[in-house]
Formats: sequence, structure tokens, C-alpha cells
Amino acid sequence: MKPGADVLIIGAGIVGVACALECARVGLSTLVVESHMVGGGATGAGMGHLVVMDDSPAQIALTQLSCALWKELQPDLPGSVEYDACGTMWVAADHEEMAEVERKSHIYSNAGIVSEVVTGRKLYEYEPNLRPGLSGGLRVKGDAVIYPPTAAAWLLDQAIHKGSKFQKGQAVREVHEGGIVVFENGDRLCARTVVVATGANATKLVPGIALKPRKGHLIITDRYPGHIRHQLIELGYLKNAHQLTQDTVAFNVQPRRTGQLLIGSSRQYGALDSRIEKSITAKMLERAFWYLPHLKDLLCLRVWTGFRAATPDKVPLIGPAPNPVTGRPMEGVWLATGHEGLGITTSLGTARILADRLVGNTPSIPWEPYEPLRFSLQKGPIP
Amino acid sequence: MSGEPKRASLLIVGSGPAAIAAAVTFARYADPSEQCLVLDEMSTSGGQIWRSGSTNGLAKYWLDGMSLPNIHRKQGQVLDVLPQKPGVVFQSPNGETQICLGNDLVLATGARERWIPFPGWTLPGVVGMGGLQAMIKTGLCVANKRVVIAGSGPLMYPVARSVQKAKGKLLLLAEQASFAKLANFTAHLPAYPEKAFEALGYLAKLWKVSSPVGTWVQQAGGEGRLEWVQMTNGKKSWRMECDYLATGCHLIPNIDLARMAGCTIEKDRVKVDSLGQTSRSHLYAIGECTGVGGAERAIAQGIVAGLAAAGQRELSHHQSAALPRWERFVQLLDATFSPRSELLDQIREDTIVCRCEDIPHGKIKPMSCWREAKLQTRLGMGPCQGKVCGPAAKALYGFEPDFPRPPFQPLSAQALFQMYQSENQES
Amino acid sequence: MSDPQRVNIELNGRPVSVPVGHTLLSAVFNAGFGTTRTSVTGQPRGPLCGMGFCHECTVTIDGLFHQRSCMITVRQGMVVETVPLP
Repeated sequence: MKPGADVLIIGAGIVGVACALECARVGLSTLVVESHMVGGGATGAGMGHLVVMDDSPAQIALTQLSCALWKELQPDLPGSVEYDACGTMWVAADHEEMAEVERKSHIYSNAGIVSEVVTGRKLYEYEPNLRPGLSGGLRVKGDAVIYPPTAAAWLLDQAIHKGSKFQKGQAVREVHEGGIVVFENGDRLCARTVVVATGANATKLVPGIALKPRKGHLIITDRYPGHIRHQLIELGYLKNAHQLTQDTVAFNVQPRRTGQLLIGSSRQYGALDSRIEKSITAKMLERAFWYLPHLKDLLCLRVWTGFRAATPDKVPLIGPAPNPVTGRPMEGVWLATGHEGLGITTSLGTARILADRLVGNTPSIPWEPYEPLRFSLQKGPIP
Repeated sequence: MSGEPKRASLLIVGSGPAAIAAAVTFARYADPSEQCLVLDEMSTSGGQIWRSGSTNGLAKYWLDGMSLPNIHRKQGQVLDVLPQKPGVVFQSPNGETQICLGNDLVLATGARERWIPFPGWTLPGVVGMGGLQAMIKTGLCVANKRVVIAGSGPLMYPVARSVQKAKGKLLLLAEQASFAKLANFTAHLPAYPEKAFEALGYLAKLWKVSSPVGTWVQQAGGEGRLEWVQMTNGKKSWRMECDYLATGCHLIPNIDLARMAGCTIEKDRVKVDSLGQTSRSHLYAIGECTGVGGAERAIAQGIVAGLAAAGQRELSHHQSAALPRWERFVQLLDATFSPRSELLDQIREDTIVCRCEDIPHGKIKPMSCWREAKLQTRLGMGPCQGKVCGPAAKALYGFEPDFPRPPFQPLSAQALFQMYQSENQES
Repeated sequence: MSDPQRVNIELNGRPVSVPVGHTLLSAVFNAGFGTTRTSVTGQPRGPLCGMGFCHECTVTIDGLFHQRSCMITVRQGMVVETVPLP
């Protein structure tokens, strides 16, 4: 079969469309195939926080690169993307967490990220609705918030403008070595490189990769402009968010440009259906009430769930896919998934790295930490 | 918090004619030790149709029955329906949340008005037909106000009477359905003498009012408020100055709770067997949520379900013989008062479809489905949760709404928390 | 003397006497205010459904936003605003 395009991207979530734009930008002929709609999966379910996260050097590097790329795009983004440079406030409940603020601020400043240590009264000047008695926080002014589904649609439009093609309505059933894609209706397409960007569903096309769905719940309120001003996250967030086995909740509340509040967050492994889980949602609300007592009176409009694509080391998979049997790179099949809760932020960085690697450029940050083969090479080929 | 679940033999959601008939029949025919619990958002029984109390002998008869000792009524919101048992999560106005359980659960969630958007329909002063009647019943003064009623369905006539009694100046009573459809309807009316007499009663009071058929609103206008409507009959158009336009395109069943409960839905109504039983055992649906057919049908269904729940299967079967006739009436109403195609064609690019989020037709038109429109345009994302724009989008674009999920109404975070906690304890 | 058949509320800063049992929605309109809510793009709006599902008649009551005036009976001393959100 002759390749019909340089790059065929499966999935029009934000990662897929960002990859399409970057590939088109470096001159590759690009096709995006999507079974349902743009941004209809994890992209449509997520929060849209553009944030620098400091869990590991690889995570800082990718989130920092990505936030810088979002800032470059920002002047061009349409109003519907609801870009809001609200910043993040990491909230410290007590003195112990205040020590963590200092540590975090250090990491950020070493990475060249501006942050402000906030203590006592200053915290309440920034966020008057936080509960009294908190110790302080770390304010990261450069973080922002967007509305992901329209951002994905806009990125796709840009990609199409640069020559990328888009095909909607047929789901992909199989992906084979040699860049071959088989659709549900039996149609086949071939590309020099197929990029699987289907989030937590990537394991259906490339079995055996180190990826698990991690369920999350979100609640959105009616419009209460000014109730909070920054994305508020408890400092224990990373601690909570990255326990690998337990179900966890953390205080993570976002002000939308509409004035709505988006209340999160929860993380569960092993929960595979999309139903609302009462106990975890109740815990999530309880945690949010502890930090924001007036939240109790605000009217909630909707509750929903989504699935993050989680890897064991919390860093995404960007590069050649491992063959499920040999563990060696599959010819012509790449992955762009495993972004866990950071896919909206890191979509742009992912796309930049992927496109650079595809045309043989050296990415601006080391790409090795995101190499999907890192897991299969560790365990070696399956005998 | 919640405490122990509240238990009753029969649990009824809603307190319109169907619910009342079921409660009263159950109370009369069940063992006196069996209790019936009626849950409703309104402070008094009667639903929307009997909102101001007993309007006629029939209403009085049933409303009086609600004082039977084994009928209990609780005011508040049903927040969710339990997936395993016949029961609901219920919240009183004071915020107390509890589980209510029954041996049988009856859903009598009624119907609501449907609107097909037209230019100007978002102006203050453009109101629902049932909406205007409800507002008049709860204190709105329309004395000397110029009122145009233009819509579809039998609801127009009681609304017109309410306006007259409240001394409003009723300028026009326009039905969009064609003369041919109405002629067919009238030809079938003798089979429903209750309805025929009711219609004659209205005719006697409303004969002086200009009441064209095949006539609808093209546009409403005004500066910050309704000042005029433009009417048409397809041949000519004319403008009328007015203070209120009461409009609506027949009624649609409220099926969210039944869908959430897992009951089979057919043609946007809850599917029931001859005794009112849904596809889920111990779960009945009666009244307008099973099809819009008016109070007499709702009462007939309530009697059948009430008898069945009371264990009077034979009597229940006997009474159910009355229902096929009413089923035909539902179909007759649907066929007669379905919106004419002109109502769907007169929308403009800038006509707002989603009033909560101000989303115009032009933005929604290119979308392929409800979810895509929701994600990309914010259609249905506001506090009405698609109750107004959902049926409009279905009529205009053929969009099927999302599967419903609590909260069905905007709910305080505290109430939501309590709902989850109660359900978690119960499961 | 206070009339037991009426309650006093504050409507957009103005004292208004309303018969007991009336909805807040009726009180707003009968007092001559032609709108309840201002839409998200700044359009004036009034009630549509009159029975609690359209959310067009929402007002601010005692500082709480988005309260459905058609579902709330007037209470003595309630402070009501129909002005847009900040």
C-alpha cells in the first residue's frame, strides 16, 4: 500500500489536533481521522488549566515549554476559547504546607518561572472567599485557563488552513506495522507515520502500552463572577493526585471566564464506566467546602466524568509505539498519549516534540523522558 | 443530615390530577394500614392545571380526597431516583435531604410547554401560555393589559379565560394548526364528550374574541420589552401592539426522571402497559409524562395505577378498559397540534435558540449533534439544562438530547453533597 | 399599623408592599419593573415558563444570585435586586 500522507493522526482531541497543526507547519502532509467529534473525549471533559507542574524535571520541562507555546498563541485565540490569565494559587493550609510553598517556589525559580510566596492577609486580598486561618500560598501568575473543546476546534481549523486534511465519522479498528490503518467499515489507509492520539483508548489500537484510564469527576456551577480569582489548588495536590493505587480527591477549583466555578478533582483507577460515583463526588465536594465555605450556597448545573490516560511515571508517551510482542518500535506507528490530567497544557509541547522528531530536528527540550519505549525496554522483549 | 429512609407503601412523585387520583384511589382500596406518600415541588396539591384550587366539581372531588388519613404529602424537590429499589432522594425546602422508599413508585411528572424560537421571542413580555396562567394565578396583574395569545393546543382556552377573568384585554386568540387539522379534530371530538363539553364551555365565554386558525406569530418586537407582534396566516401579515404575548407549541412530557430510572421511552413518552406499569418493575408512570392527553385521561390512569398498587388487580384491569380511548386522544392531540413547517422556517441566523447562554441559530446550525453543539457553542449549558432549548433543537435540527443525570434543576452544592451522601448510605 | 395581609420587601432599593401569597415574580412586575434577569450578552429578559424550569425570572435575593422568582413567595423583609451580576 502506498502512503497517502506523511502523517495520519487518529483522534481529534486536543493532542491530535495540536500534532496536526505542528506537522502541517513543518511541511508534512497531514490527515486527522476522528470517529465522533472534535474534542469530544477527555478534551471535552477536562478542566483546561494551563499550568506548570513540578512533579519531575521532565514534567516541568514539558509543561513549561507548553505554557510558553500557549502564550505565543494567545493573541490569536478567538473569544470562544475563553483564555483567562487568572494564574494559579497553590493554597497552604498550615505551616507544614508553607514549608512546601518555599520548596516549590525554589523549584519554580530555578526553572525560570515567576512565582510569589503569599502569606497571611495577602492570601485573603487575592482570594477573600477562602476559609479563614489558612497559612498562605504560592501564586503562579503565568498560569491560565482555557475552554478546551473550542481550543481544539480552533487548532484544527489552523491545521486545515495550513493544508491538513480532516476526516470525520469512521472509527479506526486496527493499526498495523508499516503505518496501516483499518477502519470499522473495512477501509484502509496508509501513511509514513500513523500517530495514535486517542487518549486512554490508545490501548485498544496498540495493546500492551503502559497506559491506564484514570477516571475523574467535575462539577460546574452557575455564574458567580469574582467568587474566586485564581485557579485554586491545595498544596497536597501532587501528593494526592499521584498516589498510584488509591482513589483520591483533591481541592482544585477553577474560575471560568463565564463566571462559573469548575469544581474538582478526583482520581480513580479501575473505574471503567462513566457513571457518577456518589461517595467520591461527596468527598470531592466536602473537600472543596473546607477551603471555600460559601461554595455550599452556589447552584450547581452539571456533574460529569472523564478518563485521563495515565502512565506509571506521570509523563506522556511521545514517539514510536512499542510492538506488543517484541517490545521493539513498531514501524510507522507513533504514540501521542498518556498526558494524564495535563493534556490540555502539554498538547502544544507534545506536538512540537513530535513534529521535530518526525522531520529529524532536535527538539528544544530533551525528548527521551517521553519515549514510549522506556517501559518496554526496561522489561525487555517478551520471550 | 438525612437519618432513616422514609417508607410508604405507595410513593408518588407529583401532585397533579394523575397523582391525586392514584393517591386517593390507593387510600380507598388498600388496607387502611397502608400509607401513601406524595412528593411535590409545589406547596399545594393540584399540579399546574388545578393550581388555584378546585376549579370545577371534578377537581374538588379529587382534591378533597387528598385529606384522607393515609395520604401524606411532602413539599420539596425530588433530586434523584434510586437505581435498584422503588425510591427517590428527596429534599425539603429547609434543605433536609432523605431517601423515600415505597413498595411501588409512581412517576406523575407531568408535561411542560414547548417553544419553537421566532425572532423576538426573548423579549420580556413574551411568555408561555401556561406560564401566563400560572403567573396570573400567583398574583400577576394583567388588568387592562393588552394580551395576544398565539400558539397551539387546547391549553390556549383556559389561559384565555384566565386573562378575561383577570380583566386583561384579550386582543387575539390564534391557533397555528390548519383549518383542515382542526376540522379533523372536531370530527373526532364527539368520542370524547367530556372534552366536547369543555370546548363548548370555552366557546360560550370566548366567542367575542377574534380567534383565527392557521395563524401564528412571525416576529415580536419592541425596545427592551415587547411592544408589538407580527402575525401571519401565510397569506398576509399584520402587526398588533400588545403588552403580553402568550405563546407555546402544545406540551411535551417530562420524562427525565423516568429515563434516569431506566424506564423505556418511546416517542418521547414513558412507555407503560395497560396498568401504567413501566418497563421497570414496581415503577408506574401516569399522566402527561406518558403522553399529553388532559386531566380526564390522567385521572383514569391514576385510578388504574392506584388500584394496581393497592393489590386490586381485577378492578384495575376492569378500569383500564377506559384507557385505549384516551390513548387515541393523545395521538389525536399530537397530530393536530404539531408545529407547522413554517414555524421551523421563520427562524433567522441571529434568533436566539438557547436563552440561558444566548446562542443564536446561526452558530448551532452547522453542528452535527446535541453534544457537539453543547461543547462547541454552549447550547444547553445554562441553568435550564436544555429544558427550553432541547425540544426546540430537536424540532429545528433533529438533535437528540443527552441522557439526563442529576441535578435535574440547578441545585446548591450543599444539596448535591447531601444527595450523594444519602444515596451512598442507601446503596 | 402593619397589614397582616401584606408584606414589605425591598425591590431594587425601593420599599414595596405586596399581598401575602404572591410570588416574587408578580411583585416585580406589578411594581412596574419590566424585566427580571439580564442575559449573558446583556439583553433584558422576563419570565417565560412561570413554573420553574426556564430560569428566565431569576433575581438576586438577600445577596444570593439566580433565585427563581416564580417559585418563591414573598417574605417580609426580603431584599431583591433585578440588576445584572457584577
